[in-house]
Amino acid sequence: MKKTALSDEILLSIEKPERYIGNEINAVIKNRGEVDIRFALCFPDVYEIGMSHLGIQILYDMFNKRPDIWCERVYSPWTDLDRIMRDRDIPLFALESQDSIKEFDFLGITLQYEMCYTNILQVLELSKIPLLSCDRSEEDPIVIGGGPCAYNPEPIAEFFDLFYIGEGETSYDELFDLYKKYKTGKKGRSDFLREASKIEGIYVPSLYEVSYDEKGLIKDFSPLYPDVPSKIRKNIVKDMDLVTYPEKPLVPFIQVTQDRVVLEVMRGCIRGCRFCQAGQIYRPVRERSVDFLKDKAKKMLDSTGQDEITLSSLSTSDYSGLKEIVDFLIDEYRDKCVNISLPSLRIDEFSLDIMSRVQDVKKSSLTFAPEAGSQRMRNVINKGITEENIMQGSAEAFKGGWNKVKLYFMLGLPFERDEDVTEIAHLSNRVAMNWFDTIPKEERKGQRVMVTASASFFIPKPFTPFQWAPMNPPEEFLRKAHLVKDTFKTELNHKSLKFQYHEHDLSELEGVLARGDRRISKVIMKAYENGAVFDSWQEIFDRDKWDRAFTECDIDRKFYTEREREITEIFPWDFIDTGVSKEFLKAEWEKAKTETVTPNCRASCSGCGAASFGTGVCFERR
Amino acid sequence: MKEGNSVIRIKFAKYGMMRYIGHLDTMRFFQRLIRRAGIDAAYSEGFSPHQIMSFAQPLGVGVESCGEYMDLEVRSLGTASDMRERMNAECAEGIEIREMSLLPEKHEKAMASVYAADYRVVFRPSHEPAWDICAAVDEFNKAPSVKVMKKSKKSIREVELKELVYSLSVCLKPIGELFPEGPLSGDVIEDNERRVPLLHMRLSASSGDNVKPELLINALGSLSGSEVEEIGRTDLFITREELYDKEMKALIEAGTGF
Repeated sequence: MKKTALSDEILLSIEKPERYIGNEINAVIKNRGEVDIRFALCFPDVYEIGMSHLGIQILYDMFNKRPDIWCERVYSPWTDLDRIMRDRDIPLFALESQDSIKEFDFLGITLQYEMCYTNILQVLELSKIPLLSCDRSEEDPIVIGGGPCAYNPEPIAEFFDLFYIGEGETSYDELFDLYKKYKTGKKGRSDFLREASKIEGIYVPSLYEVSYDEKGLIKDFSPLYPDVPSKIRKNIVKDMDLVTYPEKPLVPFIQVTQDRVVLEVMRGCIRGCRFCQAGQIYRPVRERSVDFLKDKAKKMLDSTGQDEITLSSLSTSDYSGLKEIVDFLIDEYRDKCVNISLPSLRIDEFSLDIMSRVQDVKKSSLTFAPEAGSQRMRNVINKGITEENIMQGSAEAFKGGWNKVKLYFMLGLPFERDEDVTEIAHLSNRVAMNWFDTIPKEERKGQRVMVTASASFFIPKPFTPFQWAPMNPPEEFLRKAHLVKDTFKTELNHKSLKFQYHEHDLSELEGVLARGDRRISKVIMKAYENGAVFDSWQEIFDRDKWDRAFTECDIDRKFYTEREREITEIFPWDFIDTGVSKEFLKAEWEKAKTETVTPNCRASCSGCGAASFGTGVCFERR
Repeated sequence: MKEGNSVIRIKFAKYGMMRYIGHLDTMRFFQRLIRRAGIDAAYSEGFSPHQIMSFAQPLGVGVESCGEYMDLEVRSLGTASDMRERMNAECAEGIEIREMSLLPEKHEKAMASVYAADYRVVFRPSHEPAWDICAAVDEFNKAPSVKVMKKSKKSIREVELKELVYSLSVCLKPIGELFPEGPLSGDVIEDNERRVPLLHMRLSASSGDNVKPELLINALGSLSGSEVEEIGRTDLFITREELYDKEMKALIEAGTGF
């Protein structure tokens, strides 16, 4: 029988042993002796979250297509197993071979959200890899990070040997070929890292030096050696139809968060909302052809047996082949009872028609994301929808049979006034009223409309026009949340309205980590030593462990969150070139102040700089 | 059942890594397996249609089996051997389709017809109790009555084990033979030749009176006299070998070959 790293006794004593045994359908098993490079791909959160991530599936498939590499997976052991592994000194292992991570050549960690940073340290420590890059030796795997949080890698720079900036499909071959040269040759780890720093998109933090002025602002950020590049330009895929895409995705045994086949229809977003990082860093928009998607959809459904497929992107309504691909999937798979799921659709007549064809109207609720209550605020954030769009969309939805509506808002946006905040309640009330106006009494049949508004707290992110914005203090978040709540109670249709808001503790910390610099790494380390882990899990997050860490490191979190940054300030992430120029972001920041809207990329080009990649929407004929 | 549809009974084995997969996840595994294998399953009506399948009886996590059953409604039939091969080609290591039969139009569901189950039980290395198992089995077989307290989700009540244990035997075997693939992860066998007890038992498995092997093993412990430590699920390595109906016919025999 295949051996598991954990004893039978442990597996039968923990929650969901399926998280740790591998053996899933489409898992790749190779012969250890026949590969040159062993790569452990890690999502630093629990299995069910990590297995739902498309990026891991893409890289897993792509790496394993190389006969000289065996790529395996590893996730954060849940708290029950974490304790057992520490007590009994069991090293962390990869799912496929069940071998220790320490034996691998690479440990690649995807960075999808800031609140996973302590989990990175958990994975390193359980793997018995030194937490700091500078303490690692030739025997340790090369620790590499990538994903959206790599666009400001500085708070975690000391834990990583290198970062991959941009889309994974492009530069890994070059990195692996280089590594093989070093593995067989006489040269060591530091020589490899030095050479790797010259590959496009690769950032080796140990080869750069930061100095600060007396106010604690960055004075200078530069490479230590002349042959190390001072700017790192992100990697992107030029033609989405020519890159590899998984045809045999993994099929987990246990139910995971995203338990379906994922078809990525395009990358990037034309919208340019000023708060949204993804909308900036994934520019320019690049679509896949409908033929490519049809072919992959069929192969993935056949190879997995999944009964649901989702059309994924930042804004699927903007995919130009949407109707064609949806019609194809309905025609082809209705008989086979495959569900089609369509997240991130704008609510209009066309989307509603599609949704009513693919899902049970009676059971589902519709989600709108106005993000702000007042039109003034929506102009500030460049959310390209008007109140008229919302009213028309909801009226159409009500006529189509929906009577549950969810509305997403943010609180604490730049330049926000109290009248913008209370407008969240007024707008929700008007949506409810719209139902009474649209659906005549005789057709209501005892039903009633339910509008659920939920608010999260705005966190400024690097590479957005709001990267200069001060974040609201926690007390201000709470005051605003209570103001909205109280206003809801005074609305005419308050019986049809619900309001909920997110915890503000996590938001403040996320704010520090998002725009932090290298000095934050010791806080993360301290918090981890204090026992912080799984911070993105509300029920586990313990603010006290972080509070102590900030005090012990003598770091003022308000420096990172509430301070208004000068337009000339050097940001920790300025050395990365996303293609979108800082000049463009500055101009957008100024336009936000004057409530001026910028058209989307298809309506007209605003010259953000992403055209320099020579591809995508920038070159579509308008 | 829709006209033209048929119901097939599938006998399968679950072992190795797959014994860590719980009952609900095993069902999910089969739903996807049936799609991958291109089996023409029938689906329920409504907005979220699902395959019409039912399992004879859940198998505990950690237990292996070579006699599990499920019923599946299909819209069209191939031959059993072709369907079995197609399913086995798409299986994960540790699930194996063994047999299939076609149920008559009027049939009892697998779940309703389960009456008894055969188990093979061995103690994991270094989990063997101090008391004499062979003597306890002897005693059990001779005793006119063995009453034990049986816990269920809802209640605890006294049952007469002699009525619920249809057969029980034990023999001594070299431990190496009992774990031909090697011991479970984390266990060590020091001497392959050491002779240890191997138990075979046929127990009631009806929905009201299901007896788990642990219950009988602990009853044996009590019969041996002295105060004994409770034996838990993880002290044993259990294999379910077959499921039977009221006539003590294996469930597969309710149908015919196709």
